Amino acid sequence: MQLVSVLNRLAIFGALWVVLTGGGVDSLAYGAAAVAVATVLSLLIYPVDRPGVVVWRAAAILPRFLVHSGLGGLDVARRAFDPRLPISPGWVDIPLSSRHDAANVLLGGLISILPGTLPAGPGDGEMDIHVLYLPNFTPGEVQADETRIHGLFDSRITEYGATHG
Amino acid sequence: MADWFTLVAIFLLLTVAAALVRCWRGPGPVERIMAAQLAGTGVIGVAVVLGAARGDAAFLDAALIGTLLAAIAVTAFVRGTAKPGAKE
Amino acid sequence: MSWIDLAVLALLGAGLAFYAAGSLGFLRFPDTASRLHALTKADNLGLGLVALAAAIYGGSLAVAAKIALVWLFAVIAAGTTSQLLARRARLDEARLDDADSAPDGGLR
Repeated sequence: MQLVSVLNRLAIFGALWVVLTGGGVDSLAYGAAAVAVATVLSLLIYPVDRPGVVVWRAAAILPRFLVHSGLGGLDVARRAFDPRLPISPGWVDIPLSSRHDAANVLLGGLISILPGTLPAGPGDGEMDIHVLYLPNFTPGEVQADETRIHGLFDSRITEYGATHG
Repeated sequence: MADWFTLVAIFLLLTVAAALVRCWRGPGPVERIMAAQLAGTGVIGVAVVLGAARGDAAFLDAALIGTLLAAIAVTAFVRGTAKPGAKE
Repeated sequence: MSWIDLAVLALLGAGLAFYAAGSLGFLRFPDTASRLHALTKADNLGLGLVALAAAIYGGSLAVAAKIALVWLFAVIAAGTTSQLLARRARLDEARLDDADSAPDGGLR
């Protein structure tokens, strides 16, 4: 299981190198060294014994991510162009079920592209979120996204208090 | 077609220039670093568009470096200016 | 002009519009965090659209993959740096509120 994770990372960094260099044969020796160093660094920063994101699950929510990114951009653009400037900003604190920092930062990244919400990072078991138009805000959506993010990880994420769908 | 891409690059630079008014007015340091980030996203767009117009992939390398440097600049700003005693 | 050219032009125009919206929101919105909304959402969508136009126009898989990489890094960077900046904006606001409520008016 852990060996598979290491091989996965080698494959990802290898693919990254090929895209960056166009796959030139003369750069392969440097690439092998760079990929090895990158993999070791990533293992030091985030060891494989911690909950990992399952790649195909992340790929599966990509369409949803793209649609939401479009909706989020449209919403803020509409408000920026409207002469009446229809915004009603404020902060809300949403409790988080998990104490897993990496998952919570990922959740913050997802929330930051949704229409009208911008998180100020996870802290103290809650997420401070800046809302552009308070009357439209529903806390339930954040909790639904939290479950969705936890679902991207393997089952070890439940050790951090996450509910795993 | 390449002319259209060049034209778009010029207009992209104009949107960056407009946003720099906020950098001038502030009021705070966060506005100024945000203006820098906006200029970063704008210039990355310019590099991608000009790269397409000229068929030169070197512009994309510049765009990649720009993306990474913009992220590092913002992180350095936030880490470097955190006030003592502030909730982190 | 083929329909692919038309699609590329439409993507460029839409991308430019979102860049303009980002700058406009950055200028018009009343508080720091709201301005960050414009920056994070509109500008990055604008980048995504012009990048898609460039990838289609580029016509090669290698170029498209590299453009996709630029976009991916930009999205990841925006998702994390926007949280850092929002946290900083929130702390600044809280400090201002404290200063307002302090008996001597506070110092800043």
